Amino acid sequence: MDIKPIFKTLIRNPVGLVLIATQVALTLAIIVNSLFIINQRLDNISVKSGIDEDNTLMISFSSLSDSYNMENAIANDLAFLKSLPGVNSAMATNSLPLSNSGWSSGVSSQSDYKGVEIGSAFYFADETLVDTLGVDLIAGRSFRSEEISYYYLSDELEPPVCIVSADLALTLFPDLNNPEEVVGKKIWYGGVENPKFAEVIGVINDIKAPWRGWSEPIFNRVIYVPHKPIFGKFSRYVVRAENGQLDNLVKNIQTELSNFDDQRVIRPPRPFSDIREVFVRNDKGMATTLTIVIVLLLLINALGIIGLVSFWVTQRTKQIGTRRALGATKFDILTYFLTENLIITCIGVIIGSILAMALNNWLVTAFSLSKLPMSYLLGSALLLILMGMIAVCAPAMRAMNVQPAVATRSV
Amino acid sequence: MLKMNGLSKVYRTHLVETHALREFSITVDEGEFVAVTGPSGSGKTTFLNIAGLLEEHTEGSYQLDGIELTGLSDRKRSALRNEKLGFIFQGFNLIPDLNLFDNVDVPLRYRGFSAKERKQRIETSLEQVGLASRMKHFPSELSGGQQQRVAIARALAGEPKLLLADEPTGNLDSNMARGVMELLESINANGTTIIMVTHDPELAARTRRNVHVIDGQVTDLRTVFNNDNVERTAETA
Amino acid sequence: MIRYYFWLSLKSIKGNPWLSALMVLAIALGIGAFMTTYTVFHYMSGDPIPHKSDKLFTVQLDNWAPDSAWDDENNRPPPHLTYRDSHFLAESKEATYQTAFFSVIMAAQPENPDIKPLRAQGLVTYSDFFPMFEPKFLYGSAWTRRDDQQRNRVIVLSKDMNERVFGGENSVGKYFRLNDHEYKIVGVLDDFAPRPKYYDLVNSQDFGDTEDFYLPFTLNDFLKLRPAGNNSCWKPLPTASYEGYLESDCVWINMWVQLEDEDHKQQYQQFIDNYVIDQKNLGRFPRPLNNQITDVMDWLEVREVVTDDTHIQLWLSGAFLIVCLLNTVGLMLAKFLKKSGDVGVRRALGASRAQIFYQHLIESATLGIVGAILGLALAWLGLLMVRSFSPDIAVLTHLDFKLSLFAFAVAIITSLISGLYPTWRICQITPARQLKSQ
Repeated sequence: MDIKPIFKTLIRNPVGLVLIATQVALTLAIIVNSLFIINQRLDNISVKSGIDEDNTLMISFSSLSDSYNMENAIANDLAFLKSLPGVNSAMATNSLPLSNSGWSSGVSSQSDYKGVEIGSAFYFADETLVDTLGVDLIAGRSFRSEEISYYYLSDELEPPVCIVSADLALTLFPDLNNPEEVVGKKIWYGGVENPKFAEVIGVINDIKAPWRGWSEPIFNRVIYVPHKPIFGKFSRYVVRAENGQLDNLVKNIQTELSNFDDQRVIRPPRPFSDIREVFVRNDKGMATTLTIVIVLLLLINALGIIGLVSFWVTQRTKQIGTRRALGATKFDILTYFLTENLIITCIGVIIGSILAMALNNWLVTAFSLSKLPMSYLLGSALLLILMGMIAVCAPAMRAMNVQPAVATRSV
Repeated sequence: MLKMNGLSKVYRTHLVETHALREFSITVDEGEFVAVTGPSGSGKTTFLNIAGLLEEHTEGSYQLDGIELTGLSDRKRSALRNEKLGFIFQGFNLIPDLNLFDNVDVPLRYRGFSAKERKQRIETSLEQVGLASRMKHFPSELSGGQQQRVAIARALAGEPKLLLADEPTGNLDSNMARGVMELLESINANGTTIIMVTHDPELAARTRRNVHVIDGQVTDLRTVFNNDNVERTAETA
Repeated sequence: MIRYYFWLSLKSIKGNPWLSALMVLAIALGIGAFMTTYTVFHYMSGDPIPHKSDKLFTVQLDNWAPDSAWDDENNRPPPHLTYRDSHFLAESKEATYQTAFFSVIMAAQPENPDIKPLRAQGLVTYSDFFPMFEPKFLYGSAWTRRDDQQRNRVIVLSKDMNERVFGGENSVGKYFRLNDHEYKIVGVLDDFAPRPKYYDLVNSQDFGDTEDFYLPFTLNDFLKLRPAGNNSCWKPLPTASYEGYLESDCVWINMWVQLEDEDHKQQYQQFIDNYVIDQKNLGRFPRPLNNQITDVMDWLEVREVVTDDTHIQLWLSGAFLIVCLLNTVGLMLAKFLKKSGDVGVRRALGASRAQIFYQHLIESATLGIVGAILGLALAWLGLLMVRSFSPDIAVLTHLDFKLSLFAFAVAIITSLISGLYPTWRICQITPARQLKSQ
């Protein structure tokens, strides 16, 4: 089919061309960038925390009076919790991955802090670390019970030993071939004025910090220290349930603990699924919103094309009839409209690609998004062309079925 | 009533210039019934469009009911069209979405009459054409002759001084055409000036005055009553 | 005449139901999406205390580490102050009002044995907090500066806490037990939940929790409470004790002042600069002088209360609205041009170009109104969805009368704009040609 005459007709009456092409162009620009953002958010949503998420819950309490003995309470509670049916293991801690609150501090591989100081999340754990969290200890060992001590808020943090995430190991010691080799090395903390070190005794794979960290990618950098934390009158446990027992435990654990010792306020337990839900909420919201925007955009574009092309077909009914009378086949008419639409959509797609890259550039500078891979542009362009073709089918079929006799009818 | 002097109309596209009317002069007095004849493309429709203020002329002067029309604004021309003129078309040009009442209502709305006056005028004019009983019907429910009667009622409702008809019977069979023509004659008898473009020599013969247009110029044949003369005109055409 | 045009547009919509429905749908979807994101944006970026947001300032002093800035990128000092600095500023009374505060978690112990001890979140603050941030009182009133000085054990409860512990009755004069100590109730607040919670943006989720009680800051050495919110230190405590913590360079306290005008602001800036210079002589504040006082709206911006996501969504939905608008232009054009014949007739019967213009503009507006109604319904659904994703902003986002009016205006303007070109086109119709071509 010769596209020259179609093109000429379009140029002579360019309003429809301009309208649809602009629409397609804007749509492409929006869709490409939305798809890109959605994909990043899906990555965020599917993040693995590094612990046994399905069986974990967190529960905290505050005591009422100054005279309350926190150390005894923690020791008793842990023994009690471990004795409960359905409980696999329990320990006192400050925070869990993805929980959005916790501790962080700068550490270094050198005592003088020359070179690099790396921000890292700090978690508290006891000898049951591996059992309670189900973390993947890839080298070294877990804490021993004799290494565990209580930590009060006013204390200097002085752990003699620590367990680090693989990512932190490689960040602190870039020369290592693999993170396992960090076992036995010293990690310095406490600042230049008062440098102290902890010896690395173990490495955990794929464990996450409580938050992502914006200015510094802290998300994969984690240090476990061998303490049971006492924050004034407040402390917190992480409990790992037996398989399938978590729901039951969530229902009962608050009552069980307060029956065990009622001189305190026990907060409702948070199963890890809740923590995770809160952590990914915004990403989920963004991904859903953008998906809806994309679907609606495609729909609106398709409907717009159907509406406008239908009008053209009505307007040109006589012309189509004349063509048919002069020997054009049904197929000729169909391909005429398909080609016309393809030309318009392609013009839109070309302008849209430029627009999409400009939009992405702006997003990169204004909202520090990353650069758009070309594959998204290609995919979205194809999607839009396909959408255009499907949309034009209905009115084009109607044009195809115009009878040649229409040409001779006068009114 | 209508006075055109040295009027010309030129259509310009970027390729050609067409002179639809040149040095066109005609005077129509109040109460006349003028038939305009001529071959296709002779300029008779252009004449009617200019007379009806649907198009502007390029040169010359045109006075309607004593008002000079050259260079008037769209608003004034529309108001004049609304008050002084009535139109009847070959294709009837009723608005299909509106029933008869609302169709006749259209020019009265633009005139700004009160609801009461409009209702009265619509009823009177539909009665005049014998369709008062079908007020709520839609154009598609009527025969061609009936549709043309509605169009005439619509043209009459505003009590125009000049009625312009473009092939009013062109789409009708001879029986219906006669009815429409009789209606136009009775309207003329009531004092309304009528200018009618037609192909049909029989119709033209029934009017008091024939104007023949060829190549955008006018050959005026004044008041000929006997049939011989009619035939003679037809021969010269 | 407008009624006639309106009647005609209703007829025209009925005569072309599919095309009209498409246009209404396009406008409605555009408006729905745009209003959903705009409503979220509107509430996030709203002024939480409009009549004095330009008089309330948060104070930051740069006491951070000599070799590393708190915030390299924007050179902002830490958002919080140390105890000693905030204590000094709050006691100095250089501003109209000034208060230091931090949030704490305590256990409330109702006298009624049927009510179990409950967790309560409170603010430890100065009496100036109340005239500054202007919560309304249900019963009683705030404590006084004298109470601050005399370190009286007084407390103000939230409406919610008063309801939970005292069943909502007037509890002023009664005692409230927290962590085994009793405090005399001097006032009970009415609902007080400014959104965003501008005075404590760092610690609360911006649109989240509220306080259950307020205690005098001057009781702190008796309370010996650590903050429930952020605490940041760049060097170890001088002594490992609570007193050492109060002496330290750890930052954890919010500082707000009320300043009346630009002069006042400059005076205060001078005052804190002088203070920091004095402290430098004592060996503190190793960094270059960088003290900032920031008013409410600027502070909301610094803390990025309106998230990037919200901005992106707003921009995208704006672009979406434009696509819908273009779509409507095309459909409107098709619809109007279909009626070219009728327009020709109307022109012949005496309609001026202006009258044709108004007729079609009103038709656009009618579609806009229908689209607006549907769009509002869609926006309402959209907000339901937004709420399910972020319960924090759930309390905020509702389509009130003003926003609905705004949505209507946007919808009608959108449809008028999209009707403009088609209307112009239809006005260019030469009646003569239309009449003959039939």
